[in-house]
Parts: sequence; structure tokens; C-alpha cells
Amino acid sequence: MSDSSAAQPVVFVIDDDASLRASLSDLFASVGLQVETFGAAVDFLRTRLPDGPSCLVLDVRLPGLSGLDFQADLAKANMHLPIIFITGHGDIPMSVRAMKAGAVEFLTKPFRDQDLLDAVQRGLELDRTRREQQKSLADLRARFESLTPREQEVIARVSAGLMNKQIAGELGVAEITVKVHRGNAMRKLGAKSLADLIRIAQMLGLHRPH
Amino acid sequence: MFRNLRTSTKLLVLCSVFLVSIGVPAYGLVLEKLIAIDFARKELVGSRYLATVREIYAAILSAESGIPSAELLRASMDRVVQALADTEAGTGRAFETADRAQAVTAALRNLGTHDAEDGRMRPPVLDALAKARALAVRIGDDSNLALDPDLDTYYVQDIVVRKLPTLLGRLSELQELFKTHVEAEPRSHAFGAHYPSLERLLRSIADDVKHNIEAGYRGNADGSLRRAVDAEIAAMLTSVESYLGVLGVSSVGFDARDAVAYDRLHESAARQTIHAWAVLQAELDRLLQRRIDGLNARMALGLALIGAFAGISILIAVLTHRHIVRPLERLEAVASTVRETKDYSLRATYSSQDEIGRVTAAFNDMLDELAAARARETAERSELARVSRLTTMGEMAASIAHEVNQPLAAIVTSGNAGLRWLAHATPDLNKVHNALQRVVSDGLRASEIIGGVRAMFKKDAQERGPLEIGDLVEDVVALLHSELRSEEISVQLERGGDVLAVVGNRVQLQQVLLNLITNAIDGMRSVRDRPRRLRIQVSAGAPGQVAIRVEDTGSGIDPQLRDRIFDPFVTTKSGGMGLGLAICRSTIDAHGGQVSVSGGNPHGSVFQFTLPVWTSAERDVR
Repeated sequence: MSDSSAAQPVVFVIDDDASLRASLSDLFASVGLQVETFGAAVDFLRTRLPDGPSCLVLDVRLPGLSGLDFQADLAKANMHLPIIFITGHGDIPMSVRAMKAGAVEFLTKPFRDQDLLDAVQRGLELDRTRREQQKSLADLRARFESLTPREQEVIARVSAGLMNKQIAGELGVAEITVKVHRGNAMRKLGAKSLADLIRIAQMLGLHRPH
Repeated sequence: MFRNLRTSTKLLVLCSVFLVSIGVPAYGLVLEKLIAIDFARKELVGSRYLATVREIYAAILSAESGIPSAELLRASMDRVVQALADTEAGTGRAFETADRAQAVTAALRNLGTHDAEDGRMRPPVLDALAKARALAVRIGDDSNLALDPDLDTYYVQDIVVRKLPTLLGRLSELQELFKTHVEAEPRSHAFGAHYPSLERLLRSIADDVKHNIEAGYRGNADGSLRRAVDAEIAAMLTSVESYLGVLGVSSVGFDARDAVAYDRLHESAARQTIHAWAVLQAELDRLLQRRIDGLNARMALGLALIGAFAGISILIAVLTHRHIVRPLERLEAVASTVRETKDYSLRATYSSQDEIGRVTAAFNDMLDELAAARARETAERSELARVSRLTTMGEMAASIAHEVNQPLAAIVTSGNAGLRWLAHATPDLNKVHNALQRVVSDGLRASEIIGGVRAMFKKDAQERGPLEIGDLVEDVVALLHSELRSEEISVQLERGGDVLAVVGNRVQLQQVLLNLITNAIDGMRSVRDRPRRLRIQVSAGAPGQVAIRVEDTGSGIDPQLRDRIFDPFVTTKSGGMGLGLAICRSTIDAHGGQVSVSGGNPHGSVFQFTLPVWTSAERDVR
């Protein structure tokens, strides 16, 4: 876990124009970013993605299929890579479609280098945040799994807004028992208050069992 | 069969049938008139024969009354015998009078050779008279006048043929009876017995003459008959009456001294009768001649009328031909000229209120509408061409922009990268050098693209000249190279061994090829399960032609749509206007070629167009 956060960010470039690939590679290198370039989308798919933050600079016109279609394909494959589109002749419908599908930026060639670098930084930041969120969620889930089944039942009802007496009635136990389970669970989950507990329950997607 | 005849032939047939239908009754009319005329002529001939007979009577009676000398008598008889022989030779055959003429001749010769000294000539005279009368009756029997509606000629001839010879015969018989009895034995019984019957016969004949001539007068409308013969008939009847009157008075008691007076009265009656005969005969001839003239006139009038009607019918046929057939022929000529030349400004010229005139007017109106429709169509087509040209220009501009943007983006990026390398605390000059080299090469690349585009548009858009079609195809394929590559389409260009030159406008033909290849690319965009292949063939087609074939392995065209795919606004693309192929066709048409489409085997579609080969002869003309 600590390795992944320390991993170098990588910028992927897919463009069929070799000359532009070389220039982009050089540009990203000049600002110290690690870069990998591909002439076609299929080549990119063969690569193993690194654990560190990364983003994709994608030409709209790709050999074989369009960049927009490729964006959809990636989303379907659950690969949430921030994408910056570059195009030789962008038009408004195309850029709208790209942005709706979650693109970071849509740049028209020739673009200002700072715009591209800003967009790439933003993409990397997004990816980094996403990765961190994913990591803390996994952490919470592990903690939740460490609760006893009875503690999990109690927590689910607490987060649904039931009072201790009601929970005791539903579960058929004494109110004092509920209080003990609740205290143990809050400690294990690291919740300092009831509000904190409810936030955690929402993150975990808990809901009241019927 | 009649339906397929030319209208002028139909008219001719109609006119001919009409003329025949006029001609047949006309022939009947002429025939009828000719028969009537023939009848009348025959009567004339008979009348002439009767004139001879009358001369015979005159001669016989002159021989009876006073015989000057044997020589004179013989000469007189010879003369009439000769006249009779001539007449008989001329016309006897028609009346079959040969035997009776011979009998008359024999009687006359007998009369001529009879001894004049004897003074007893009565029986031979009577015999000759009887024979002559028989001859006259035969001629009269052959007359057709009884069938004639003209009563005047009928009655006159009856008088001439029957009554007057009989009258003369009876007069002679009476005179003979009288003389015989006066000289032999006055107041004899025989005379007393014979006289009253003879007198009654004579009076009866005279009454018949009177009655007949009155009937003839009634039948003679203009009264000319009465004027011509009335006096003579009256004189004859008076003299006969006075002869009979004297005889009647004398029959109870007369003596021989009165014989001379009786002879004179008899002679007078005979002379008057002969005279009346001559006059009547002349009148008969005149009437017959007038009838012939009338018949001739009526026939001429009838023929003239028929001729006039026939002429009018021919005139009407000619007019019909002029006002129906000729306008129709002109209409047909204009129609076929319009069909051949497509010149809708032509008009048929025929102004009339009839059906032909209305058809001509309707035809001209139709041509007006056709011309207007054609003008609209031409305008629409040129508008389409303009729109399509703009669309194609827009597409080409976008394509060019993309092609130029690519190296520009690389240049800008490389420049920026170089600047950043320079900005480092320790500038990496090697990196800067590399960046600048890329800038230079991409700059050159951009310049090449611009140069290619300029070369493409350098020629005047309307100018036509000889083009090497294979090179043109290669240029267009090169222009679309990046697009073809990005769609992963393999290109197969086949050029025939010969250098094939055509005459045409470079830009227009480039647009045609651009259009067809772009369509092929669009058609193959959705293809994933088979190779995307574009095959372009340039080959010598039919003599004098070059064929260019563009074949793809795309989704193809619905066969039902194939016939209309070149029509404006027919498209298989969701966003297309359906103008590209319409413009292709009009361009190829304008170049004198043809464009067609067929299905690919097993996939895709095949577009083929032809262009006329540029020959060295054209070079010489230039």
C-alpha cells in the first residue's frame, strides 16, 4: 500500500501521428513526467497499467475506432483513467460528448503546452484522489468486516435512525446489550460520534435489513 | 388493316369509293340517254325511209292522174325505184323491209312498163299503192314511239305512217271505183254498194287524222306543231271533204261530163295530202331532232352536274387532307423533332377552331409546360450542384485543416518542449537540438501538404484538358491517405499497362473520385468481421473509353435503392444530404461518360464510371 502511493505518476499518449507522439513525449519529459506513447488503442490495451496515478492523452481520431468510442470501451471495462482529448478538428458536439463521458479536458490542435500540462496535472490529481478514496474505503470495509455479526446488525439499525430500545425490541435482547454492542462497534470503526458513524455507514452503503 | 393505313390513304379510299358511287349512276344515266337517243335516231331513219315512201306515193299519184309520156313515167319510176333501192340499202336492214321493198319495186316497175297508151292503169296503181302502204306500215310497226312519253311525235308519226298512206290508198280506190263505174255504167249497183263503205272509211280516217293531230297538239307543249302543220292539215281535210262532198252529192246522179272536175278534186285532195304528209314529216323530223338535242343537253347537264359534284368531293378531300392530315403530319414532325433535339421552344403552327386546332394548341401548351418544367429542373440541378460544391469544398477544407493541424500541433509542442528544456537550471541542449529538428521537419511536412493542396486547385476550375487518369486517382488516394490509414483500409490500386489519358477538368474529376472513395470509406467504417479493402482499377474499357472502377468491402447498397442512388437527396447515410452521387453523375455526364453501380461480391458495392479517351487527333485540333 505504501509502495503504490509513492509510485511515479505516468502519462499515456495515444496518437497515430508519430511526430506528435515524439513531441508530446519530449514535452512531458521536460517537466519530469514519466510518459508512455502508443500509435494505436490496441497497443495501449496490451500494456499493464501501473499502480501509481496516471492519465491518458487521447487523439479523437484513432486508427480503427474513434477516441470517443475508446473512452466508452474503457468505462465499460471499469478502467477509470482520466482522459484528456486532443483533436485536429474538434467540434462542439464532439467535445460535449467527451466531457459528459467524464473527460478531463478537450483540446484542439495546436494547443498551448500549459493548457495540456495543466490538464494532465488535473487528471493525475483526480486519479490520485480516486485511488486514495478507493484505499480508505477498502480500509473501512476491512474494519466493518472485523465486527461481530451482532455488532453489524446493531450498527445497521443505528445508522437507519432507530433508538436503542427499538433495536433491542427488534433483536429480542436487552437494551443494555445493545448499548455494549454499539460502543464496541463505534470503537472498532473509529467513529467518534453518532454523526461520524452515520457517515461511515453511508460510505459502506449499509442499509437497514428487513 | 384499315386502321394502320395512312390517313391520306384512307382519304383517298373514301374519295375513290365516293367517285365510284357517283360514276355508276352516271354511267347508267348516260346509257339510258344514249338508248333514248338511239331510239330517236332510229325514228329519224324511219322517217327518212318514209320520205322515200312518200316520194313513191307522189310518183304513183302523178302517174295516176295524168300520164305525160311513157318515157317520163319510166324515168319517174326509175328515179323512185333507185331512191328506194338506196334507202333500202342504207337502212332497210333496221326495219326488215327487204321483201316489201322488193314488192314495191316490182309494182313500180310494172307501173313503169305498163303501156301508157292503154290509159287503163288503175289496177297496177292500186297494187303499187297497196304495196307502198304495206311498206309504210312495216316501218311504222318497228317504231318505238308508242313507248315514248312525248305524245306529239307519237301521233304525228301515226298519222304519217298509217293514216296518210291509208288515206291516199282509199282516195285512189274511191277514184278508181268512181271512174270505173262512171265510164262503164252510171248508177250501177256495184257503185251504190261500194261507195258508202269507202266514204265511211275515208271519213273515219279523216276523223282519225283530225283526232290524232289534236292529241298531238296537246302533247306539244310549245305549240310549234300546231303553227307548223295546222294550215296544211286543215287544207288537206278540206280538200278531202270537198272531194267526198261532191262525190256524195253526185252518187245519186252525176254524169260523165263532171269526170274532169272529179279528177281535179281527187288530184287536189291527193296533192294536199302529200303536201300535208311532207309538212308533217318535216315536223316529225324536227321534233325528233329536237328531242335528240334535248336528250343530249340533258345528258350533258347531268354529266356536268356529276362532274361538278365529283370535283367538289375531290376538293373537299384535298381540303380535308390540307386541314387534317397536313397539320397532323406537322404536329408529328414537331413532336419527333422535340423528342430528338430536346428543343422545347419549337411550336406547331396551325390555328383553327376545330379539333385539330385544339389538339395543336393543347400540344403547344404541353410544350410550354415541359419547357417550364425543364427550366425549373435545370435551375434546381444547378442549385444542387452549387450546394454540393459548397458541401464538398467544406469537407475538403476540413480535411485539409486536419492534415495541416497535425504537423502544426507537433511543431508547437516540440517548440514548447524545447523552451522548457532551455528553462531548466542546467539546460539540456541535446534535447533542445532534437526538439528544433522535429520543428523543422514538421514545418516542411506542413509545407508539403499546403503545396499539394495548391497544386490541386491551381488549374482553372472550368478548364478541360488531357489528364492522365491513373495519376489523378493516385493523387486523390494520397490526399485521403491518412483517413484510409486511420480506418485501417488497405488500398489496392491497379493501373493498366498503357498510359490512359482522358479529357476533363482536373478538380471536378478529383471531386468525383473523392466522393466515391469517401463513400467507400464510410461504407466500411462499420465493418469489423472482414478485411476493409478499397480496390481501384483503371483500365481501357470499350473502344475510345477509359473505365474507372471503385470497389469496396463495405456494407453495400440496398438493391432496391441502387436504381435511385444517383438521384438527388437519395442517401444511405444518416447525416448525408444525398447530393454527392448526383453531382458525380452530372459531372461524368458532362464529360461524356457514364456512371453505374452494382453490388460487390460478396460484400460491398462497385461504382464504375467511364470517360472518353483523349486521342492525338484532339491534340491536332488544339
